[in-house]
Amino acid sequence: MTGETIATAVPWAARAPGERTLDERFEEVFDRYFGEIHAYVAQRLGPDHAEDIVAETFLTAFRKRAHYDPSRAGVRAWLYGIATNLIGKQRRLEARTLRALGRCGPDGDAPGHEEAVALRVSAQSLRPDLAAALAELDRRDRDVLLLVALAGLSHDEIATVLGIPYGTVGSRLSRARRKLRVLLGTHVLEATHG
Amino acid sequence: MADPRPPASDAPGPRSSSVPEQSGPAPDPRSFPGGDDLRAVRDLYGHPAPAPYAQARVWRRVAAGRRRRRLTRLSALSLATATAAALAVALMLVRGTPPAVPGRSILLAAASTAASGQQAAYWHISRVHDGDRLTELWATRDGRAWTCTFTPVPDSSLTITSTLSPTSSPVPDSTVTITSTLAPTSTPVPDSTVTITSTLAPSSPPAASASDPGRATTPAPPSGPASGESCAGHGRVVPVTGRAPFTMAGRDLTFRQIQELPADPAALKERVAAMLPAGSAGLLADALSGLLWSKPSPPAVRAAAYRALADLPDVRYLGGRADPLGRPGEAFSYPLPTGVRRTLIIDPATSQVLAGADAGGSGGSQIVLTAGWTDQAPDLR
Repeated sequence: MTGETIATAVPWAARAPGERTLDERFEEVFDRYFGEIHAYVAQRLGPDHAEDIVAETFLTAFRKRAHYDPSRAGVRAWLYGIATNLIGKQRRLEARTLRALGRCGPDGDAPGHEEAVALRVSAQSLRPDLAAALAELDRRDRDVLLLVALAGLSHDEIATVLGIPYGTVGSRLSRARRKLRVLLGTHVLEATHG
Repeated sequence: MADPRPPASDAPGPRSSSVPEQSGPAPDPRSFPGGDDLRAVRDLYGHPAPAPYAQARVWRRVAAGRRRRRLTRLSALSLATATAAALAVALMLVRGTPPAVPGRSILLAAASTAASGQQAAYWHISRVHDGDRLTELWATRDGRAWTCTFTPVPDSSLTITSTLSPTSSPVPDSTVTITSTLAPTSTPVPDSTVTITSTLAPSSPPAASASDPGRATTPAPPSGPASGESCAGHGRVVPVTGRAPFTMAGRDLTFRQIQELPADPAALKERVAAMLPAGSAGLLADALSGLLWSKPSPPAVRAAAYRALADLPDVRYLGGRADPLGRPGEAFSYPLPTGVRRTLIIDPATSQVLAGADAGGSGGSQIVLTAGWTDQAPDLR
């Protein structure tokens, strides 16, 4: 691996001129995106397993760096795609995390790390139903929804990094949102009349 | 991907670009009209922050994996974690043949002790979390609070002194070493061991600060750990702003709300149950026991919490057990809705909770070094 470099066209991070090794650039990529990739994984799988998956995400990125095409997606979106695929292999863990999110967490108290999972949601009563609705979504629909809602990726970024047609992104997203909106509408009605 | 049209004329324009156009403008997902559903999703997931040193820890693994070209076997790893958790639960079940009556009498004895506690200027707790992180919290009657968190860097050692010494005689006066890896659920990296060395202080009276009533205005002799032994000696004490310093089942709880809790066990149980979010009835035992140690509950409320716990069917007595620092106590456990079983070790003679540990889930643990009232102010530098 020594002396191995990747094409300068690959914007791993701030592209510095000169002969910088991949290792150095890879570390920059890591430093720059660790925080948000970790947050995304911790949101979906809980903080306890996030470090495993995040490490795996960056290792996969490193291994697949030759297949990365900077003209199609930014590094950030690409990392989100890898993380999403790895999360997809942990379905039971994700279901468990969603169940936990639906409840309120166990007695936490400052200043521990427990408050890291923020427990505030505007309508507390909505929480369990929303989490259940998310858990019931098809995994692929949920992936798209969360890449939009949590990562803020665009449709073409999602299409690229998940390797699905552009139109499919839209249809999966609408299906997921339709289900959630039905739920939200029901709640508004209940709040009004109940 | 090739543009089907013939090569563009020499007139440069956006259409002559060789970059394929996207089939329509990419809408900014955050500007969708009626994005309430997306916002609700974001609210639900919250903003989990990485644990201290998580980035360095993960980078070490990435760098090592890159060198070795060896990937963590996630499935095997999760399996190992699950097996360990199951084993821990099984062990606990074996140990926990419940002599229900002694457990109840122990909790009631602790309640009597708790009722006679005293209050002072600051409520203070210092704890070791998961064997690798020391936190302190101070709170005052007027609602102010300060915290401090300290994580020893790998390969360093920290000597901490607990003022919660047991009253019973077999006190180890030797040094207890807790060795724990920084990331219990992940592959331990050999050099990531933190050693926390704790020296028990057998001579100091239990709840030393609280035993000085009536001296609220005069500075009490230092009862907390010495500077090198506290979190404040290593990290900055920062005020808690923008949120209440305490939570119950995820809901903020102010100092005043805690003071206003009823002192009657049945009323307390009812009040706490009413504060739990809908569908979280399984958190009642945890919420009640939180009043025993992680909150500045008045003595009468602590006593009521002990009595209420003694009557909860899902609280199980596990028998006498020493905490990770070797302090003898009595172990009780109860289930959390997440499937985790939480064990608390209490000292009925002082009514203090010495330690808590979870079996299953992340297997978190807390060791209480000091808890109670003190006149010693936090060191606000």
